[in-house]
Amino acid sequence: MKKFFAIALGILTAIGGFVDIGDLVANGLVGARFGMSLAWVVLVGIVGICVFAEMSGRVAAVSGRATFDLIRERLGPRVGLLNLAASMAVTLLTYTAEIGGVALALELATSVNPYLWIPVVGAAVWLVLWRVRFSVLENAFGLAGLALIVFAVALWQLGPDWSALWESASRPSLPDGESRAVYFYYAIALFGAAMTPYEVFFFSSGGVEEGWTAKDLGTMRANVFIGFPLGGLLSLAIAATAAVTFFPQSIEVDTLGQLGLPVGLALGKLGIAFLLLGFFAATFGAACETGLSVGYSIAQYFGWQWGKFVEPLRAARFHTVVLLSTIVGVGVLLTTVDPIMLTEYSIVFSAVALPLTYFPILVVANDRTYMGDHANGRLANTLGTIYLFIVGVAAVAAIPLMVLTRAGQ
Amino acid sequence: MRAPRWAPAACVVLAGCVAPAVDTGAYQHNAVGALESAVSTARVAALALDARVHDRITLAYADTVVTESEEALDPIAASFAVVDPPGRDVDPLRGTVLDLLSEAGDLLADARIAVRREDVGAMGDLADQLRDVADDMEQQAETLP
Repeated sequence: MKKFFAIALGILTAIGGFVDIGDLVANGLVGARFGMSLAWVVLVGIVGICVFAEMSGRVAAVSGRATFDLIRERLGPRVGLLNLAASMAVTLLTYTAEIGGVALALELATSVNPYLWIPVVGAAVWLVLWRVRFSVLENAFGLAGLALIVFAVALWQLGPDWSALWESASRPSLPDGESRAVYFYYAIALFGAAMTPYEVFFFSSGGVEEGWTAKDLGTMRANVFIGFPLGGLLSLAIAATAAVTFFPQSIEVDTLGQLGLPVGLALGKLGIAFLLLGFFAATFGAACETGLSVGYSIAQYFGWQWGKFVEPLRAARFHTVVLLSTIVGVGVLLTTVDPIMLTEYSIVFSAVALPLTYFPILVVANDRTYMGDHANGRLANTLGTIYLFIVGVAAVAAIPLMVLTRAGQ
Repeated sequence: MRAPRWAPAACVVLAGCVAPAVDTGAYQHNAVGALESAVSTARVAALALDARVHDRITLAYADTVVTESEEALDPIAASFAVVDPPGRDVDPLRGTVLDLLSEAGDLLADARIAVRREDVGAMGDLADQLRDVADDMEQQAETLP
């Protein structure tokens, strides 16, 4: 029974923790502009993140060591540094965007300017990362993030033409006035949002934090193969509410407030209460995950003591990196950069960094020195190789499409 | 105050790097872009006003959405206004577009005030007017090549 609850809790937190500011922005924006014609990208992204999260979780459970720890050892310091630089830059950008997202969620609840909230949010995130236990952090925000299911309820309440939605999703086509370049630019953004590099670093480092062993592989796989796809369904529900409400009126979604309007229209103030809780939990939880991921990556690369499973003073350099990252994130946001714009760039640059993140995981997961009998099988390798090709294409195409379309204008 | 996504470009334009549109087609393209952005802004504000009138969203939520819409429209109008028309033949287009953008901007300012005053009657009227001006802007955009 205890194991059942552990699995159920893991799945629920995986669902609630799946959506972050990148998923919110990308799915809302794409739903409003392209209807459901990019839903296939979310599905491709979900399968991809499942493949690599399972690999990185398996590596953590079997070897007892996190991804970056092994990448540097297995591929050498130079390749490790390249991997670290690319992933770190994107994760720091994502961390900054998440802090901005929390401030925007608080603005919606209070109508107080988000730039007044940003320093408060930065301090709160750092305090949580310093003081709160890992399991509490993961479970509390993961479960609260389930409030975003309100998007699915709102979709049902809006009473859409389900067959038209299915038609739009199953037979993707270009909406009038949109070019192929813009369509594929947003496809890459959506893919980058679903496969953000920090998710695998956090997942594997979290496995070490929680002391996973080979006995926990079943629980880990349940989290990945049930929790992540259900989280992906949540992403599709967000896109669908935007598609139903905004697409027919030619409204483009640029803010969190606009994204949540269909929930208010469908469910009233109670829906808005759940929505705000979901926005806050999703962005705050992801801010904690990305903040920790920055610390994990650097500390694991340099071989420092890391993690929340030891007293903060025993992992002083790890916590210093987290603190400095928070200061940088808050500083960038206080230049009055738009957090939503930052999010859009972070998910596109995520796509650029994907091969550097996922190739080393595939290598390490195949190394029997670390993995023994739990090294990748034929299915994992086939899917991993296919996805490396896909992320390679996305990475190469992302910047040219960004320039060509003026960032999707 | 949140800077809109194309604020850096607008700043460059407003800082003096203003050039006439290359030709009539480019100028009309600018006009269509400005009108389409403004249509989206006006319609989302109308949705928020409707939701507030029917007590579906909180005051803070409505205030945030309407204020964001107003803040988004200002740079749209400014960045269109500073581009010199390539010839006299598009002066009427410039006037029409600027009039529509100005009307939408005035309505959004009134909407912000109505929301903060919790003036339900005014919010309902303004939602209708915003939808009307959005339709006008959409029709104007459709007349352009």
